[in-house]
Amino acid sequence: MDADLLLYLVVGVALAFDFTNGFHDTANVVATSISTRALRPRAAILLAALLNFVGAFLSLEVAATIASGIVESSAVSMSVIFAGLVGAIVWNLVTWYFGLPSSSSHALIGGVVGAVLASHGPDAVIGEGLLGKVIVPALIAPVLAFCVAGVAIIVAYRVVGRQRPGPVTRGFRLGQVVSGGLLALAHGTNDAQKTMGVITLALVAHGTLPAEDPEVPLWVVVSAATAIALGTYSGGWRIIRTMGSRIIRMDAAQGFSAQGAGAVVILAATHAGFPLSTTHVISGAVMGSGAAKRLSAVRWGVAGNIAIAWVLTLPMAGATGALVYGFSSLFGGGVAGPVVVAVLLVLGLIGLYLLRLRQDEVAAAEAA
Amino acid sequence: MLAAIIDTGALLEVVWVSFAAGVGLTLAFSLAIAAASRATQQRRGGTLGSAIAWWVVTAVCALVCAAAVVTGVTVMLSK
Repeated sequence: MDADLLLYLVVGVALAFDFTNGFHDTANVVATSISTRALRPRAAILLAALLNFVGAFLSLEVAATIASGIVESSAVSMSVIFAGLVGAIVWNLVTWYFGLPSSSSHALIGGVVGAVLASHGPDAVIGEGLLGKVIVPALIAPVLAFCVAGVAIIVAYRVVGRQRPGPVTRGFRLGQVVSGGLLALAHGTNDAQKTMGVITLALVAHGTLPAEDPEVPLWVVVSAATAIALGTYSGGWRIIRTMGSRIIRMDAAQGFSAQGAGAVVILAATHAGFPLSTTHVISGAVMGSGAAKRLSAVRWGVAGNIAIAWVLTLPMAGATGALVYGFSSLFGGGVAGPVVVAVLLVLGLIGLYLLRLRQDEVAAAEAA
Repeated sequence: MLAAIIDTGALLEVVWVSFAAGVGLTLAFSLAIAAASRATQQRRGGTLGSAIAWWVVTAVCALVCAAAVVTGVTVMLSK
């Protein structure tokens, strides 16, 4: 009975994480298209949501059993997954509140690593895996995307520089629709699978699925695809504003170069089996396409805040994951702790929603 | 030490493929836009032969971009 309830909780929290992943990462896909007016905001988000949904069905290979190679697999229990997911959700909400694009994958890994540290100690964390699969790629992704987008925009300006601006802008806007679609598809394929992996792992731990070569049930695929699509459709407007207009004010050519370079870097990394964060890649590409035009075009203060959020993602999500695991353990090893945490999480979400409503009212009153 | 942790081969592949494909795709798409713009100008100027030549350049560049998109989807499917 306890195991069943814990499984339901893990599935529910995993889908909640998937939802936050969707609305947190909407900006990666749509921000540039919206800011260059390649698409109307609602149309951009609807397209991104649909393609995220489709992307989730493209590949059913559960590539990432969560944090594999980063923590000892024997240390990953349902309680650890639950605590890790809560840590990731909390960090996603904090960075969303401040309008900062940060990696949901890193938040999830950080949460799980923190929970493993709390449950099994440092010996259960594989330092080399953490360095090779998370930290070094986090350094490489934005720099690579920055350089590729920078060179690409210089080439684009060189080629279309003497043409009339009207047709050029229309052309690049059309290109943005396609490159944005490709990004949304790639995002759905990569990120929905993380949730499918988490739920599958929980089903294996529960005994519902066999440990040897478990097949992902259809309801897991459909629910993960739906959660990420709904999250994407609800739109993380704060982060969209940051990505679309607060880092640089971009034209259509810059938007296309950033999205095109971002899509290519992500797909090249996928093909080579080298894990890069979509958020890091797109943020780096946006900065690169701005800096190549004029260094002062990039608001380096905003870029600095984003970099700080990236650096903090792993330790903060980890600390939250560890705290949640520790707090849950106070109620014994059963399901009572996770139930209390889940109730507190729901109350926190309601509080955040009310705070946001209040802020919207104040903003509306100030505007009137 | 770092070389033992990082798959250097995969990293180098990501770097060169990203540069080649990212810059190549933008070049092809920019050329398509520039050529389409030129073709329109030539047609309005009454030089039909030149306009057709620019339309051919546009079509070739557009095909290159379409091939890049198809390759991208194939990479996703073959993951």
